[in-house]
Amino acid sequence: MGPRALSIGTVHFLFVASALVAAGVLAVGYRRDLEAALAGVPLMLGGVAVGFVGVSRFAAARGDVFAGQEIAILAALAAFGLGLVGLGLIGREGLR
Amino acid sequence: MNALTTALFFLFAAVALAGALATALAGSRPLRGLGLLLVGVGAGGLCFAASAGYAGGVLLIAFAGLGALFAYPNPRSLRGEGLARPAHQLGALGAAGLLVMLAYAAFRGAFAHGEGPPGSFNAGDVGRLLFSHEALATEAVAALLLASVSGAAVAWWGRER
Repeated sequence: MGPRALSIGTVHFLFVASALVAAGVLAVGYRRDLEAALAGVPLMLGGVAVGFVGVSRFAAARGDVFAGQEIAILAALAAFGLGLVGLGLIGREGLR
Repeated sequence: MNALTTALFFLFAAVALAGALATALAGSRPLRGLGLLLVGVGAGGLCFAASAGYAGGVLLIAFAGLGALFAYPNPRSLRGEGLARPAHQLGALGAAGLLVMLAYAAFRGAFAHGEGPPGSFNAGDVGRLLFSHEALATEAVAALLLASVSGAAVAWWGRER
């Protein structure tokens, strides 16, 4: 019996997604600088997007493969908007 | 997935994780921006490897924009200066017009309807996969997330004391 070919599945995507979320949690919880902590939020949403894409690609073998991709796009746009608003708020707070 | 896609998955996963660590631990703004750009490249590539090229493109553009914002935030706009210029108001009006056009197109347009393989994508299907077929791996992912959140809480608590 020869070596099994390495294949990618849902779990691989979920591991990468959870690592991205963990890095975001680390940034939000550990960094004192508000700007550095804010950078963790897009990381978490990026992890969510990767997770949804992976699940929709592999777990939805009998389903609508576009559902997860739509949520991933929404998460990416939400990350961008949150970053924009957050940086603006930090700048305004810095004036006080 | 073929061998090339598998190799691309691991390459983009490494890029995304390196970018995430750089973002979380970077001490300077440019490095933080570069980290976010790397996360975008990695996450976009992962989506591309999962046959979700459009979502990957959106992720890449969003994170590239975030990287630019975090690396070089405009100090004038951060201080709230110059927000009421006529050019900005014109831009806001243009954005509103674009939104109206998009709403009209969504209401009247006849878009192509895409369908995946027949069946349903619901919580039951995902739950069956995660808690029966791949239960051990799901537990490992849950443990990783729990450890990260607990570690962050302990680090935060230690700093507050």
